[in-house]
Amino acid sequence: MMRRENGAATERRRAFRHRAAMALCGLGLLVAAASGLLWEKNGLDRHALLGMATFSGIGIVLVGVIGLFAYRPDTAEQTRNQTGSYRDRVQRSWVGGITILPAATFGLTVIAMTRSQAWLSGEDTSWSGVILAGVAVVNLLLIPLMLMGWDGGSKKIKRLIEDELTQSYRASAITCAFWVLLIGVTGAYLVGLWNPEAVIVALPMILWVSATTAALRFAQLHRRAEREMDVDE
Amino acid sequence: MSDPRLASRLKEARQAAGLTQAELAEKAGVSRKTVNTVENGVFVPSTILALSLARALGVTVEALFWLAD
Repeated sequence: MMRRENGAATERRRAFRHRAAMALCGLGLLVAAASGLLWEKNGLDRHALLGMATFSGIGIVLVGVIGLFAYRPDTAEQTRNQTGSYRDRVQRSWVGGITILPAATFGLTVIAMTRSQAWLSGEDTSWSGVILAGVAVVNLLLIPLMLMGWDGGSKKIKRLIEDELTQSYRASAITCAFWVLLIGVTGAYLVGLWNPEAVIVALPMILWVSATTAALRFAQLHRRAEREMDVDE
Repeated sequence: MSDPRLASRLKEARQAAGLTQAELAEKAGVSRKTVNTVENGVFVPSTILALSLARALGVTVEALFWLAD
């Protein structure tokens, strides 16, 4: 009961801050628009002042947007519903890690593509370039390895992560990624009939898209299940 | 993952036992999410999970799940 009252109070505070952020955002837009209009008139020598006003407006908008995101309504209620055991918290943080992996490996994928292109075109025939291309693409394996729970870690943590729902979501995510990979490789094969070099350069991206599909589908299923959790009573 | 042929009385049995989803999850060795999805019919549990839930609640599997006509 106490927890619910605390949650309601938190929600009220959050709603107030959300309205404040919205007002700030509106004010920022107004300041930026008004300053922009005055800037256009080009009358008095007030350019520096108007420039400052414009950028202040944009700054206020940015602060407002951050506030709108941080204090969006119903988050406290949702967080209260999502609370669970230690196992739930471990799973949540593990899924969070899987979600950020695609963004973390995107740069490596681009490096692998550029290095392989340089190697194939003869621009860079050094072994360091081709090794970098290989290592960068091998890094993509981190995504499926983490998704499968083969990324190391203690047995206790693995036992907490591996429950039936996780296994079911994993199967669904891997199936989805398999289809993406199949379509990507088929497309690459067809393109390769005319331009084999382009296929080699594109392969890291096909692998990244497939691995990312698995990671994001898995995270999406987990998040949806969390969002749909009832009040625990 | 859901199957309209499966009917469940898990929520009623849990509430009758005076347990929260988190407590039942702890006893059955699964996450609260798993219990919630089974209760809502979003996820069909395996035989092992059904037996674990039944054991945690001190009832038979048939008392929790049955085939809807």
